[in-house]
Amino acid sequence: MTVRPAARARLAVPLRLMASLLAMALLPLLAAPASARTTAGSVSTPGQDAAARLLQRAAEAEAAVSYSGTQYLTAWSPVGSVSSVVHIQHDPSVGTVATVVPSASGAGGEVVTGGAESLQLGPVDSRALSLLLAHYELRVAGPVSCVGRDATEVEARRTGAAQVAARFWVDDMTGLVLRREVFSDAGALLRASVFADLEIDPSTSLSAAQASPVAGTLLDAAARGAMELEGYASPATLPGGLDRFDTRRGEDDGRAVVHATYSDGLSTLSLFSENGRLGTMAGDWSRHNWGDAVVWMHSQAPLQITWQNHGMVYTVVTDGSASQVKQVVAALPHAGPPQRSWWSRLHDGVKRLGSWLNPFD
Amino acid sequence: MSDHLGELATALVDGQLGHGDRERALAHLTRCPDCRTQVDSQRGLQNRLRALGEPVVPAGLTDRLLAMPTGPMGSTPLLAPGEPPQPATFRAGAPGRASRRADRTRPAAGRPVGRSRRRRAVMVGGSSVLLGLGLLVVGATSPAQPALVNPDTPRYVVEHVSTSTEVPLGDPGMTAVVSVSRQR
Repeated sequence: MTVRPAARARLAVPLRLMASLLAMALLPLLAAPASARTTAGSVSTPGQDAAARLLQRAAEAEAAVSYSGTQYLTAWSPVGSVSSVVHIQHDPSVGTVATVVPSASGAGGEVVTGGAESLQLGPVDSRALSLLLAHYELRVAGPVSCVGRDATEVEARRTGAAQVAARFWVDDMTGLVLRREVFSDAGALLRASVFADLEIDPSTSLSAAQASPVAGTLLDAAARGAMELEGYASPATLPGGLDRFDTRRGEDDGRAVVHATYSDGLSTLSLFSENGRLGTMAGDWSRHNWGDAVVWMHSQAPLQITWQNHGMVYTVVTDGSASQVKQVVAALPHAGPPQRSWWSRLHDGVKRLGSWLNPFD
Repeated sequence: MSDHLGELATALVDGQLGHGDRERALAHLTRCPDCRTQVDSQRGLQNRLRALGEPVVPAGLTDRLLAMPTGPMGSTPLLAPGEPPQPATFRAGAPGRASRRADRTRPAAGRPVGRSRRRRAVMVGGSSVLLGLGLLVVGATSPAQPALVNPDTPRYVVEHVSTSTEVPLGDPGMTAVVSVSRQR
């Protein structure tokens, strides 16, 4: 087919228009910078990368910067709220001394936690930050002033949610977190803390004798596997994005107790397992039905939940939300007392009869 | 609580005290060395008993049980494996019915008698069934349940607080407040 010159001109105009529109649509994609993929496979943005770098710096600051200061803080849970003023002395090589100021609600006290050596830790672990990136969308909210210092505000939102999950105010000079707020899934404030005053590299230093070691012995993979074969719970992950950090073994009245620590990057959960069955859960405990699980909740913060299953007793202690703990309980074993077969009863009867007939028993 | 724990020491070691009683018992131990000694010795005894392991059923138990007198079912004990039958005794009597009666009740020496053998088999089988049922009953009442546990949550909170500090971006002030409030 031959196109005449006039028709050719009329045809070129729509083609040029279409090409222009196509170029305009493709231009943003062509100009977008290369983005890194997170461990979850989602594509991060430059803003998220900047926020992640700020939080990485904040994590490293706790392991590198000595400081002392006064914090105001409040925590809310299903069983009540706690508000306090705390004086903190922190030396990464020794540990932290936190002195809770007496108030109308309590007598106060001092808590000493060990540094890296007593906790038997290695370098700063980036797993918590990886979890934050995997389950939360980070963004830099902007420059702010906090405690008279220049800082940058970082927001974390659960992926696909409109609610803010946490806010961090990161000191521009040291990277320390000057202020933090953590929210529940429903947007309710779970805990908030802010420094009223802060001194970097204070003249007074902590003595090594003040820090007491953490109870229990760290378990390696082989030891953890051996305990799990006996029924002690220490799964690699729990619902709600909780990743296991470590597992320790301790004792209570001669019984082995396994303590597994979990975090989703914002909240921490401890899972204790011990052999036995629950005794009388009266006094400070109240019974609740969570789905097909019967659990007992303690009346004091932090959130403490205990339940049993087939000769094992599980206890959770967490600063997270009750909805997160419900998911954990549902995922872990939670049956009634063990059912004994006729063969086990016969076997027990033979043993007992044998003990009657044995003159040396 | 009296001057000393007394029987509560055993309940404390066995983990059978309620939360409130346990707290009071532990508080008493902090100021009573005699009770501390008692609790320590009981705990040591418990640990040694646990180390002994499960009792072993003696060999030949079943055979010895079957050899025990059967009581109302007969005046003679059941035969043990390999044990020869007792010599039979005969009463002189008229042949016929008496003989047949003797045949039924008096086994002749050296000759196997079907009815007495069947009777013994029935007695052995019945005794075994009764023995099995008895063992089931005894086993059903045998306490093979796990020990009672009252989770030591004040200590768990302290341990939770301590390990929370190892998680980056943790809040040491918040963990201290939680720990102190739980100790009140």
